[in-house]
Amino acid sequence: MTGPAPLFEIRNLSVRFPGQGEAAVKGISLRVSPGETLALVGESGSGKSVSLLAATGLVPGAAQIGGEVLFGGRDLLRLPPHQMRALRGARIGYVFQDPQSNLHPYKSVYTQIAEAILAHAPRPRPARAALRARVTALLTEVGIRNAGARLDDLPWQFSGGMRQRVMIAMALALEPSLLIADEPTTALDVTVQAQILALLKEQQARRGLAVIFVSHDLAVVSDIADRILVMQQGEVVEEGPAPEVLRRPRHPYARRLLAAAGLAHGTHSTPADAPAPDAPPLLSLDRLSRSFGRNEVLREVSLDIAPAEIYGLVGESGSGKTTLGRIVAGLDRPDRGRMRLDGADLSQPFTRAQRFAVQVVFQDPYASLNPHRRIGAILSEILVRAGEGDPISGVADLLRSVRLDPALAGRLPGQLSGGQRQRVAIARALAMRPKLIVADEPVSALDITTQAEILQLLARLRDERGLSILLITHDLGVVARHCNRVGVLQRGVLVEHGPVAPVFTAPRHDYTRALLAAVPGRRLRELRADPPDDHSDPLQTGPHQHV
Amino acid sequence: MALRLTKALSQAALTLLVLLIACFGLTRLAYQNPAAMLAPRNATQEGIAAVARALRLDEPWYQQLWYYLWRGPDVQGAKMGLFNWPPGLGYSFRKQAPVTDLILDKIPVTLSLVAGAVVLWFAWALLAGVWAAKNQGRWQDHLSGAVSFVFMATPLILSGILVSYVLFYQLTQAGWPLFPSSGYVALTSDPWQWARHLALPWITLAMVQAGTFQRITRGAVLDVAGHDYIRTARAKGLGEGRVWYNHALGAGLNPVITLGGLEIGTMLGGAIVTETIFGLDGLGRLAISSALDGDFPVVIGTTITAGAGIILMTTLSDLWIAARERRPLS
Repeated sequence: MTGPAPLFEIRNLSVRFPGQGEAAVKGISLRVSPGETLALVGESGSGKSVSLLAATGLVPGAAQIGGEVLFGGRDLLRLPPHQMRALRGARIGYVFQDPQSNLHPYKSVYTQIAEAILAHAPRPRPARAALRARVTALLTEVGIRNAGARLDDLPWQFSGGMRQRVMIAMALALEPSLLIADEPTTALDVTVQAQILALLKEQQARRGLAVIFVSHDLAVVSDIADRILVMQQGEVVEEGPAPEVLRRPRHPYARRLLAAAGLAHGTHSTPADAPAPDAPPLLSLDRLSRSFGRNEVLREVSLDIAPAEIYGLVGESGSGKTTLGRIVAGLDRPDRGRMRLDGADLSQPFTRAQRFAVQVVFQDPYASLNPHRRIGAILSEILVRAGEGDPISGVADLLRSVRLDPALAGRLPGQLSGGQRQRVAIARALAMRPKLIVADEPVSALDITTQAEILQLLARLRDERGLSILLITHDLGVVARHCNRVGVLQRGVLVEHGPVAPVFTAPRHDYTRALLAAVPGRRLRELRADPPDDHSDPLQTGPHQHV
Repeated sequence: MALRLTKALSQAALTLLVLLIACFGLTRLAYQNPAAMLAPRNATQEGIAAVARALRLDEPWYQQLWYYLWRGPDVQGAKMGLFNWPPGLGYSFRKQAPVTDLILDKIPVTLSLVAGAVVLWFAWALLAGVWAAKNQGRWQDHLSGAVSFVFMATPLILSGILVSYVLFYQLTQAGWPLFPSSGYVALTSDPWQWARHLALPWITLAMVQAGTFQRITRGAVLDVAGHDYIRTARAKGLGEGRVWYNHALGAGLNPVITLGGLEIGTMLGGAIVTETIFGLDGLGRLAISSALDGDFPVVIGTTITAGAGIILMTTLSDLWIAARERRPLS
């Protein structure tokens, strides 16, 4: 390999947890140089986070770790703990995925950053006033407005994006030479994600950092990486300069990941057709408003959903899209406005038949299924309620309708994968023979290849059963690929709506334009618009999705 | 905030009033013939009846309650009911003194006892609890677990006598009279003697609680040990000591605060066994002696004091937790 000498190098690292037959990491090697961004890509369980945690001594003691980790000429795996501690935070900075769970809940942001500085400060310790000035300067540098006045705030008093900026300030506080960013934008809104990526790039350029960027999403990675390394089941399956990996991935798994990223974020893919304009709507909302206290969450929202349509509702956190979904599902009531289903007014609360007609699929299939009940029991209970005939064959039919093996009825939710659990959640909704399903971020907790499969299942249910779906998402790529029409919510107001293609190609509202501009994967789309002329373009071959 | 505080205070006052009335009712039910308990041992029927009349024990209960709340016995011409000013808790039947004075007299003893015990008990529970959590599954954990089970399983009466035997009797025998066996010296008159006299009761009382709270602390800390922000603390390069004793303990402290507040509140009502073993004249002994004597105004007074202690401590622990989370008191 050419280029400057590596700053950080992993050689043949393996990690095995006691009690698990297979090693979590099976001899991976990687290197990163100053000023370079290496992206480590793979799905959950691929071993990408574990490798880096193990390399820096952050994996709990019982794991067996082998190989070499070279940093500044020393092997980190053979350093005594106090020397390893002295490197962590000072020379190696970390930014983790979810700034909510990664910041201490009862310590002010000042304390959390200052103690990182103090942990590595030579004695005598810096004076408090100087320390406060230093932390203020750091927070200002990462874009926290009025930082001096916010030093003593707790993490929850900041928004998600601001919390991630605090995390970054903490990681950069001691001028490390290596920054490990583990899914730093996955928990954030798309516009905030774009800001955080820009901030990371800016800081890297200013400080000449070596960055290891861990992500499951090749589109996000394409915007930031110099080199890409793809991991699957604890092994590196693909490695190379970013443009090369993005243009001509050699390994089938890398091709699948790339195709999934292209599907998820390609806002110019051909969307489904808009419904016939003269069809009477299935659901019609007329000037719905909802406030919580003084906070107006929805203001005069009017929209129609046609039969056999997927209606995409997009917006950032706090835009009111979940509240609207809850009202449509009858889980919350509007303060004002009218809702009609199939031409009849929806009473508040819903009648029994109306409750059956509108069903919900939630975001997190880990949390929305009772972990102590078997799949068959979960589904048959509902079939009995719905007055369906034989619950046993009914359960099998339901599982088949979401492309699951009926034998899974005997399993507990914990024994299923995330994608399988979300299919069960969809089957649970289908059991009521609904006309409309409200799906609130149904794929955002899933791996990127699984996301595509679940979305295709929803599209199939629309086409085969004439089901309508209100798809609530922050991901515009999902909308572009699968929705007939789209509505854009900003702070409780529906600022733009209509068929997907015109809204996405010629957005009229500034907010829609901002959302579209923030979609990750610009570089991926540029490469795609200019494909190499051999036949190995992954975006042409595409994945064989079996749904 | 002021509104919420007012609400909390008025709720507390209402709770205490209900407690007082319930307590009044209970004393009337519990003692069939209180005048006989109060009269001299060789009193005649007429004598007992005279006592009952003098103390208005022969009147219907609602008149007695009215009298208790609005007037109090005006033995020396002063009204000392709860609804007079200054509010009082009546006049002791037997001790010939206002109940408020009797209680105020004992409070310093009980407060001194509780304050010292709390310091010892939390110092031990937090240090040993986090130490056990930090070394989960290793010998340190087992050792600390064994000690805590011994503490929890030993009845107060036994541990009090053992502490007294070893630290007073054996030490004194060996020519080291470090601790007196009993008695109380006010903090204001001689702080050194105050601490010397209270050391053994502090140890006794702390031991009982330390075992339980050591286990609670260990569990609370282990609960948060797997959280992401603990990993962040390590990633910042903090030492293991700070990770466990500052970050993990700080995050897991809420249940310890809540339960600690309850336990301290209960103790403020008097630590009867400890006070008796070490000859401390605190609220606990006052409560016991008045209950045995049929001296209801004092029984009610000590009960109210205990109730106020619990309300005060639970409110304080709620306030503390709210302040930690920087949210208004719910």
